[in-house]
Amino acid sequence: MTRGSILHHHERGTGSLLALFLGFLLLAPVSARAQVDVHASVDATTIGTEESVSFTITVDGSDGSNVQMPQPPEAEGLVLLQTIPRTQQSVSIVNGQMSRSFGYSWSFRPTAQGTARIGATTITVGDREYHTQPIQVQVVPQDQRPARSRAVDPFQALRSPFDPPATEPAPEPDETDLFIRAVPTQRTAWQNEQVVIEYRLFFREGIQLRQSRLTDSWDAEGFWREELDVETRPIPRIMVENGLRYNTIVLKKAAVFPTRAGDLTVDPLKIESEAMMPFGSRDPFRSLFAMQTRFSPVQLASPEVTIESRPLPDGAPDSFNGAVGAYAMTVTPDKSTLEVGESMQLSVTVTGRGNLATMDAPVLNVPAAFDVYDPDVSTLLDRSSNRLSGSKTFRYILIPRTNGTFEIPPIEFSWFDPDAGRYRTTTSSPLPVTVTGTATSPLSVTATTNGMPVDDFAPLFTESVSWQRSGTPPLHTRWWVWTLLLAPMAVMGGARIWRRHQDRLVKDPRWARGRRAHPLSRKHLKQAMELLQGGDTKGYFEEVERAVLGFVGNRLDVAEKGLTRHQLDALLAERGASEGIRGRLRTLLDLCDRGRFAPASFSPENKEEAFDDASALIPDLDEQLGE
Amino acid sequence: MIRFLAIAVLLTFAPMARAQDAASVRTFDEGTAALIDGRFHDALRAFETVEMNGWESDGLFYNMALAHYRLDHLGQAVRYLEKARALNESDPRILHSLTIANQRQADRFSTLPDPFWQSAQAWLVEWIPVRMAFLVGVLCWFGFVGTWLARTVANMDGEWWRRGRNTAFAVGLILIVHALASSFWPPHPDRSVVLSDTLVLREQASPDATEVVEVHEGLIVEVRASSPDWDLIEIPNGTRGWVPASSLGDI
Repeated sequence: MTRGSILHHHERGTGSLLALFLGFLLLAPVSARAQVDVHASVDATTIGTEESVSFTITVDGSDGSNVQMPQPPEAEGLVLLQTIPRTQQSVSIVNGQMSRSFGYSWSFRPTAQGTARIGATTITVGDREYHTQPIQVQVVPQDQRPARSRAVDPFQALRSPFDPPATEPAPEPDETDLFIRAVPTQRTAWQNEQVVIEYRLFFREGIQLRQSRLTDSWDAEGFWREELDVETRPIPRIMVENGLRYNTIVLKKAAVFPTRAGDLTVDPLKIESEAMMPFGSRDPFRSLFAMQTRFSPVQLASPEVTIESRPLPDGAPDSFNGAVGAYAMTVTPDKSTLEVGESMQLSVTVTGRGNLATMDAPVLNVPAAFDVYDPDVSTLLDRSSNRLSGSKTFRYILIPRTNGTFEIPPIEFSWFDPDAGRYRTTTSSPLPVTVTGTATSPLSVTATTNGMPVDDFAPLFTESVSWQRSGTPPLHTRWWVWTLLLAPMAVMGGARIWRRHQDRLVKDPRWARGRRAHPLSRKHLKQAMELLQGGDTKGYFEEVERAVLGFVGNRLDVAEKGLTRHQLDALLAERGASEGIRGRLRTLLDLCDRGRFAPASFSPENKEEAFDDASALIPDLDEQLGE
Repeated sequence: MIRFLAIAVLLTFAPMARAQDAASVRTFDEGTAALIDGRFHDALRAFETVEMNGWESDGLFYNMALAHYRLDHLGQAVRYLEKARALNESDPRILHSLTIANQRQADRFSTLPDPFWQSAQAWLVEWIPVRMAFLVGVLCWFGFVGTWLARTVANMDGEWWRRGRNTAFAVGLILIVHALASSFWPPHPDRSVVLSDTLVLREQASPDATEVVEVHEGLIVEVRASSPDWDLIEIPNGTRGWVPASSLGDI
């Protein structure tokens, strides 16, 4: 590199746009034919144990626009101090010839005495890969380090006179100088309870930062996340930590809501920045020009935050739909009297602190006479305070389809109060609604092919003619059912008995006469009594005698006429009749004979005695004669 | 004397019963007017009075269902629609409204197919209703008894008498057995409707028992067993569980 050829030299960042602009403006016409050369170098091949070595890959013939950032080389006996390389760029015009260089540098610190080694690495320029050679570095005790004889630094001539010399690199911040702290409002939370995490950057006084940006997308798996507002131009606060004074600013504030139970982890917040350490008392001259000193790239990450999420307790009310926090509810109709077909708006607003974004609408039960449309939902979140709060409004449109006086039942909303550790419920008042007018026959456009409304019940029955008694018991429990079934069977049984009786009467004359004896006797005795009451004493005794003799004849199955009294008595004795009853029969027959021939000799009492004797004698004879 | 008393009782109570019937019909008309005016609670009171007087009709049950539906009582609406359908299975208004009500029912369960014998019995009962089967069967039974008596008492017999007698006996026996069997064991078990918004089926008849499944208002279930305060029900997909009896309405 020749003196006087320097146009510009800079670190990546400040002035880079200008350099790029100039580079493109001046070099674009010749870039196509520029030759690319890549080589690696270190600023010293022998270093003390307390020193660091800078490793640089230089790409000659490129402005860096087609160079892909290489990976840092592997090293043995050395440790890499930063993963993001410093970049350097130079453009020179010598005798009308332009040359360009672009380089990446890393710093390594030895881990032990001996021979250290920086391995080969690869860099891609355009569509071609270039490989560097490994470099060995001797590490000696600090007090034995040689006078620093650095290798050629391709950018040395480009350094600012105010830059610190290469043998005394700019100090780099460590974790006590610069760090991010994540502070959650609580480490244990109920499921869906709000936890606010604040990410605060701590940096020692005098450290300057620039070009700060988030490196990765911050994630919190298992949480619903809502960003809270932070100052866009924060004024650092001074805080003392472990006896050291720090400036602090809030980088980020987020409300997170655990969506499930268990230990849930919030990823670290990572930023990349460029930091400049002050030279302070070590070099007052340089401190004077601190703004001109070098910024070092730094990567910062907050620690992970673990939140223990507890499941909500049992006993949730029916109207609970997962809300956790502190809420209030208002229900406001825009009117309470309307006509059929007119719409009314019912606004249900839930206000409070918690996860309003995922909150479901409270259950709305309205009389079926109303059409209800899905609510229009609007959410208003207040992110400016230390907790996420706001309101969520559900606007329902109700359209009555029929007239009448209705009542919109109370709307109930429940949530879990994490501070009190219990469920709370708020209930609105019932809302009376009066609907007037009559339906304007919308059936013509909302009717099915058979005239029924598409989405409603059919019209009512204005008359009912098919009345019947309710509560009809099952058939088998009704008495008349069994009567209808069993009565014919009884009739059949009776008929069967009658048939057998009739058949015996025909087939067994003796039995038939016996069956006839008694009824005939009763018939004669009845006639006798009628004759007696008619004053016919003779006829009376004749009928009494006929009754008795007829009975005996039937029972003995003989023709009683023509039998003498002795023959009759003998037949009775033969059939087992006792002497006593035969004597009673003889006495009665004698009495009847006397009554027929000398009726006047009988008093009325004597006449009735004959009737009584006959009435008593016939059953006695029937008993003794048997079958 | 007895004849006189019987006639007197008949003449005294017949007009009273007739007057009560007329009052029930007038109450139904008043309920219908209230329903038209949108006074659903008044309408329901009137209809329930008619029902308590021991009357029922498809129109009464349908209007009760409509009033309940307007008051957002889905379970009661389904219950009375089913009662109306039991009395008049072919009325398009009842069938249409049942479809609408069922569309609002939240549960979507698959339905188990009925056993083939149950389907066959249901088909038979639909084809020959129980009471009709019984009455025709009794007529056949009387025919058989009459011809038997004719033969037994009056010696009226012959080939055609015998055939008629046997035919009447066989047909009567089949119909009467069908009627009584269907009365003892109906083709469909007792059905009820879930009246509460949500209802949890439990493994035991206890509020602390393990939950089986949750169902919602308007679902028709079959009652398989009952205890004083709990019913064992079966939902359409065959799942069974105990529920408080008060949360069901019989059809």
